[in-house]
Amino acid sequence: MPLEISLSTLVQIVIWGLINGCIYVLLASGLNLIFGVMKVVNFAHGEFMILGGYVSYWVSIYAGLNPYFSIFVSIGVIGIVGVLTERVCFRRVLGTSKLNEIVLSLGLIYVLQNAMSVLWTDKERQISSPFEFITVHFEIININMRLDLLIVIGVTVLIMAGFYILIKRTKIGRAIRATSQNRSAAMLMGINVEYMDMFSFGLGTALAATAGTLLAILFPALYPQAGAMPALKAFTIIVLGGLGSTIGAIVGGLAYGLAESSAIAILGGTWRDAIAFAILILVLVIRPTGLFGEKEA
Amino acid sequence: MLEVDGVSASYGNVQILWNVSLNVKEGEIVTILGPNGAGKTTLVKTILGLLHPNSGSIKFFDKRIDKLPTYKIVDIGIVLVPEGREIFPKMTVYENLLLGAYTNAAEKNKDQSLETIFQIFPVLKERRKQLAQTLSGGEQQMLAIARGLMSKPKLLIMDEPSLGLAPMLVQKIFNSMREINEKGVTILLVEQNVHRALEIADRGYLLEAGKMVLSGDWNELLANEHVKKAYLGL
Repeated sequence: MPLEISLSTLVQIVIWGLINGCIYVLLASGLNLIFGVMKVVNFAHGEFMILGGYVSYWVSIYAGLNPYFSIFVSIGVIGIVGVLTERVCFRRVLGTSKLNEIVLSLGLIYVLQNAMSVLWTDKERQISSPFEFITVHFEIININMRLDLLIVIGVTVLIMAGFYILIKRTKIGRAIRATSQNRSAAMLMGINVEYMDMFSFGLGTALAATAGTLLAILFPALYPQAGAMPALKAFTIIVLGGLGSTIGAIVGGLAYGLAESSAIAILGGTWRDAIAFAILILVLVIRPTGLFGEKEA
Repeated sequence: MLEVDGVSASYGNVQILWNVSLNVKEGEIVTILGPNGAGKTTLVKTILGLLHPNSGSIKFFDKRIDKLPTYKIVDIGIVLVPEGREIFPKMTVYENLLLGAYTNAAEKNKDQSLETIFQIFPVLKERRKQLAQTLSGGEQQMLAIARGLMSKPKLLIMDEPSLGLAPMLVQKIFNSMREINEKGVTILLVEQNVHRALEIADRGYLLEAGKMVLSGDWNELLANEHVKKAYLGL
């Protein structure tokens, strides 16, 4: 295998790494938020992502809305679905046993996948973007890029900046962080922690919905089972970044995207999914607390 | 203002508190004494609604509170400075204090409370931008108390604030307690340090193996033979 990589190949690797990284950052940040606050791993996170993609798909077809604006509808709808899921399902089993929480979220996978099959069939769909055929030429690196790729990066930056400000600078963000750092102390501050669970779950699934919409704009990748692999990767990313670390999920998501696109370019596309597990195993062996995680005090 | 009447409470199948009663009047400093494992922490957790009693009642200003969730109990003015500080380690000192003023009533008085607190604990003002986990043990305890004060409590419950602190710091913490009480906050103090607790308290209760075995004014307790023998080493 020749390991001579030309400059333009390298640029390609970086660009696709960042694009996929954006999707992973959004997905992993939501999963991480839910884990941080509730200490629950939402295995059905990928299904919320795909459901979010379908909502945007419908909104852009039936309401004729620009798919980038339909993201906001999807955020609202999936946010409410997330809030209801927490209230109706997770709250009832929270704190009973880890096994109950795991079985519940595994069960949700099948419920959501089958519901999506009924509503949208198993056909692979894509949300068509009005900018589909517009490309931008970059003189310096001599490369053509779909305009959508740039917009996807921009949207991700905007959404993540908003998320970051919400978590770090607002009162509710402070309450969310307090709940994730010390639940009973948060209760003693007068924080309604069950409300924080609900809000965080809704916010986490809303981020997943954003990821699903962007994914479906870029690729014909919208089908009911499409969320399984990305969710697994998101799980790898939050282990890589450090469980519960906001910045870890962002850096981890981008790093994972780059690692994946490098693996595709160097080893070939068949290795794409294997590297998630390779990274997961490596991190667990070398640094179980992740890049930004800290040892338990 | 606080009336605990015949409360029994358990963790799972293990009963910890047996028919415990106590009361606190406005303006007082009342202390709960007792050895390790007597159920002192369980009692304050039950008052705060972190644990619900099996039987008995808890009233605050004549209103039943034993079925309320913790955040509502905090909202009506009972605040706990928990054993072991329980600060938020990865937030700054300032953010910890802001969380103390989470309830709407407390938030309105935020600036004034901050001023008072920095007056009592000047070191917290110096360290307001530091992460709470970088503070020393004594400073963390001050932060925990200060955070409790930010909540504008009517009744401040402190669970073993002197635990693991150097004698000089213990003195400082107890002095600040008196200062806080003089500002009109009623204090319920849980302590193993019987000597010091009775020095500042008006009245005290003695809890042993989950039962109230004794109560009285500080001088009565100090004069009691059992207290003398078991707790004061006299």
